[in-house]
Amino acid sequence: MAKSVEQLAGELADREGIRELPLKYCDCVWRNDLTGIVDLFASDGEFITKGFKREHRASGREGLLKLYGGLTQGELSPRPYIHNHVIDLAGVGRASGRCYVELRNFKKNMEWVGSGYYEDEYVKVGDDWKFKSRTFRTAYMSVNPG
Amino acid sequence: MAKTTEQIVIELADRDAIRELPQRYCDCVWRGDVDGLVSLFADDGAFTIIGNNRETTNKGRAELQKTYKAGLASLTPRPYIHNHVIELTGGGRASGRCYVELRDASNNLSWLGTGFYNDEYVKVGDTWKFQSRRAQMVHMEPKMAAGTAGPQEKK
Repeated sequence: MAKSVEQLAGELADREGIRELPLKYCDCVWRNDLTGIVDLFASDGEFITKGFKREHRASGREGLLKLYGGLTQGELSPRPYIHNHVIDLAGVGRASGRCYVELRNFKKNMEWVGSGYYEDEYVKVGDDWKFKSRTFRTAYMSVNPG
Repeated sequence: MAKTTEQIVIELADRDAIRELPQRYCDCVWRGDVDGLVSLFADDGAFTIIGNNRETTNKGRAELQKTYKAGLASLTPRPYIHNHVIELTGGGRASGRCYVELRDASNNLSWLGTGFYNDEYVKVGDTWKFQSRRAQMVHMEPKMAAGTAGPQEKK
């Protein structure tokens, strides 16, 4: 059965709200707005990094603030560009998606340092979409992000 | 005459679904999902790659399946899509253009090349599909250039 105009509009608004999350995430990273980054997550949201050899997990507002507080302390000060965002609405305020990132390093004349992708889970909190979880998988990284 | 709210919402939904096609295409390429890639095309959909004075076209699911399987295995491309413009032409048809950068997963994601796609889209039931993709390469590193020559090459 064809979707009604109300259903189409609701889904469009949901997709737009979700599409904005990784964009705002990158914008916050560029501006080193740590609180802004963490505000994009649900209160029990988590960020998981999966490298080739190790996995790191930060959960909840305090854990995320601590994690992102170290964002620029290593040899990498990341400047991300996001691409290829695909979204699957799962209903009842849930969705998942994947998007791909290239990173340049502000500390090294913006040299290209690597790429990877995020596997995201999204949740609607009130009227706002948030990250329930972000799992970053490295495809290639020339420097240790710390 | 101004469009009705219903017309506007339907056009927005069409644009959104079409916008997602090249994104899903890239996502499938990254993950090596050949079945997923081919499912983005109409049954008689076609993919053409143009570069180095060569033009190679593959049409229909069987040819696309074979071409993408071989291409993804030999080139290991990792694409990023940009600058997607869409023109709705009515009657379940649309066209568009988007620009791509390619990196090589087999070589520390080194640069493979760049170009753009001239796309034709068709609505099949409730789902938008590629009717055709014409990839015009603007710059290709040697590995990419070698990988674009195919058996159905035509000048």
